[in-house]
Amino acid sequence: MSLAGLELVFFLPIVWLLHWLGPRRAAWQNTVLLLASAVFYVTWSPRLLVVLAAAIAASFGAGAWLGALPTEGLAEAELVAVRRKRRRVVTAAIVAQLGLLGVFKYAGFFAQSLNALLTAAGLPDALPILHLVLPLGISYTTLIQVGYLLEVYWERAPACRDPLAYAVFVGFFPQLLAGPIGRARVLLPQYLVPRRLLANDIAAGAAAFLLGFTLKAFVADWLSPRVVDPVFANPAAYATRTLWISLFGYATQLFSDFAGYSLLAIGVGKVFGLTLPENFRHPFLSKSLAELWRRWHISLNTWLFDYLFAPLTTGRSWFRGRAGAGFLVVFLVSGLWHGATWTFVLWGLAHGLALAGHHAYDGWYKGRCRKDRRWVAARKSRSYGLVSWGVTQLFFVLTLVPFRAPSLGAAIAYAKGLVGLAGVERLAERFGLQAAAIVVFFVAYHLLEVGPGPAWKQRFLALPAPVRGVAYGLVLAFLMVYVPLGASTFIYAQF
Amino acid sequence: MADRVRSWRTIALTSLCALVTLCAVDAGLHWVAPPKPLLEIDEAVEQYREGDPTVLVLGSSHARSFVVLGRVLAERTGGAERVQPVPVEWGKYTPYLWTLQHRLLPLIDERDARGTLVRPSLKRAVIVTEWWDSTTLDGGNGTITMSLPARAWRWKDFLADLFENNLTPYNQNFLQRVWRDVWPWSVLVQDRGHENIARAIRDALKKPDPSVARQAYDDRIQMWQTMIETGEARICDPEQMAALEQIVAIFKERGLDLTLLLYPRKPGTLTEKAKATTLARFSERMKTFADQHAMRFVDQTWQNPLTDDDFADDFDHILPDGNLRWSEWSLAGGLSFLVGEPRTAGGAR
Repeated sequence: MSLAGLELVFFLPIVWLLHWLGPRRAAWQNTVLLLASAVFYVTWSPRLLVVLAAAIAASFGAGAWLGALPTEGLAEAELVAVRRKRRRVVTAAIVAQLGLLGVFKYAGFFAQSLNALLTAAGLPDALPILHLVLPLGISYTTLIQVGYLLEVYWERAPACRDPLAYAVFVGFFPQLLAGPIGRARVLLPQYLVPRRLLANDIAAGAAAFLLGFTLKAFVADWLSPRVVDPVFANPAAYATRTLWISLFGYATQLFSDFAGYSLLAIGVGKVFGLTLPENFRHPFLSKSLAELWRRWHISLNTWLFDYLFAPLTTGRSWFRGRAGAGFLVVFLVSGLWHGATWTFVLWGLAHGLALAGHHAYDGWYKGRCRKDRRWVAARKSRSYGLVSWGVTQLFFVLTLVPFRAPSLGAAIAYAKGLVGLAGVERLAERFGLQAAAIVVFFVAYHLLEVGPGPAWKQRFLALPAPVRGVAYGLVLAFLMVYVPLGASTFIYAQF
Repeated sequence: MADRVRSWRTIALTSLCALVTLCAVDAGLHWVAPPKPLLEIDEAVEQYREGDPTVLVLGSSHARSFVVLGRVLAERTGGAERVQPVPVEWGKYTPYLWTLQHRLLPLIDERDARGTLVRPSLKRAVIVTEWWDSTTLDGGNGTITMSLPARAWRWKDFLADLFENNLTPYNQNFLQRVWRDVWPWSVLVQDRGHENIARAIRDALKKPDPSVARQAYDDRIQMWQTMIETGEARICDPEQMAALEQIVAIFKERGLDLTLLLYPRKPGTLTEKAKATTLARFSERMKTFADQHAMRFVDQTWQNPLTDDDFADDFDHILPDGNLRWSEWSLAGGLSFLVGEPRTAGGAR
């Protein structure tokens, strides 16, 4: 089951009615959501539900143990012992969570890579290759749980004492497939109290759902089979212009697919009275990589920066004060998180190096600014902004070549094609009304965030309800005509 | 509290206006792209239940041509011969068999308290086929495009498959059908997957350039020609032929007069090479099969009165006028036996 699939039309109303028609108690609401999440999970893989349940039980138990070892008010000698114990508990719990992820997601990759090295050295293969089915959403649920354990360990969040609330916090079905990655401090308290059915939540949820569905089903699912998939399947055959069109098409598809899914999840969360974290904030408006990563997959990047970058660069290790090295580590981890292949490692390496370079440049530029204020004015100029925007977006789009390519060889073939060493084939389809509508929608979606855009948005929202109703009705009719039948799965579900 | 009430009222008003707009657009689109009701398995099964037919026609969407033929035949015989086509869209023999076993046999074999058949009139069965129906279930490309769940399943079949295989793209097709059944009057819902509305809007906004349309037509003709010419290696897939054997065995057990009909193809899609290879091999195999099972064999693949203009835009199905001409011609020739007594009527039944 997916949030953009037709089955949700049958599933969601039942869950919604059960959730709100029952007693207004957190226990009842959480029970309904937990059962719904289990049903949602079972439609993908019933056997692997056990793995998720075991992981949740383990992290809940570890959290409770940490909660039972408070450091406040302890004498120095006792404090040292408790801290040591807390460190052991959190280390064991995190190792268990990451170990589970490692076994399912990375064992094959590391075994294959090691065997390749051994073969290159003339030695026989040493490790068997495990072909395990990846539990649905394990990359997301692992990060949610590790984040929770660290928050409790650092005593920034209290240990959760309600197993039901905790299980829903980790496994709530809208976020199960592809996030957003919820944070314990923000999200967990919402599950501990009864939710109220508010008109504003329903309106916000419906709006997010409609926008998410448009992005996912209208934009991403149309682009994928027509513009992206055939070209990436055989890049060497296509002409340079087609390769560029396909690459920009992929950037649009990836954003629409993932941001669309996140909005669907946020919308579904809202109708249950829950506020899931924002995951995208118009990343194609970014004028620097640092800004882009604050706007793209926000929940993953803030997780990586809070729980990896910050401890790394402020701790006592060699990384202390070395932001560039920290960026490199963060993005190598991010690359590996996306998938256990060398193409993702290359993608992470490129972004890590670029961010480190940008950080150094930023430091240098600020130094100039301090000496000469004209540098400040230059940075604020329209031409500087335009060039920064162009360079940032071009770099981001280019790094999508290894991100999307099935192998390093295919990525190299694609990259060669982009600079002219290409074939002659073009896309088979002639693009008409729908392609134009997609471009207009996508550009308008971003432009509504700049200049007079937000004011126009507000003006629309201030229109009388019947006028807005007619507009929404027309949008729905348009989607019913033009959304392809049988929406594909979400790109980010595979991570 | 006042705010909250106003908010709910706003939401209700907005939703109502959206719904009214949607209904108005839907009603308007009936003019742009009027719905084309097609006989589907559910309706065919109901007709069988009510009608007690004398002739059962099992086939892919091509079986729908027998709706017209059945009308002509009923007129000629004063209603004595009643044809019941059961079209299994995207047909192959395995889904024909499933439909026969799960949807039709309960009606064919239904007996009353005294043990008498409730519908005793059935005496003939016609299996309508073409070479494509005998190829593998995935058509050779690894993707099962045939959609039995959307055409023939009921809730119990869906739930059984759901418990066995989880939710899959295959069984999700059933939900698509249910969704359509909920809104039978909505052209917006019924058009999903057909894209008739999008096509009509596109044509209304921009008249298709005749040279472009001609080129597109030629390209599609060539695609069909190539598909048929290269299909020889895939015809008569063992799994599909085993299903056909079972279908025939089921009909024979019930003493039915059997006919195997090779359905007419659009002349322009048939090259001399295709006639000499894929179509000739398929015809030979089916003729042998029919002879082995004492079935009547009628090959109309290109021996028919139809022209390219008698076929729909999909190059696959015959248009209403063509169906009428084909029915008259068939009943005067290869299918004239339908007017008379069957050669193995009654028997085991």
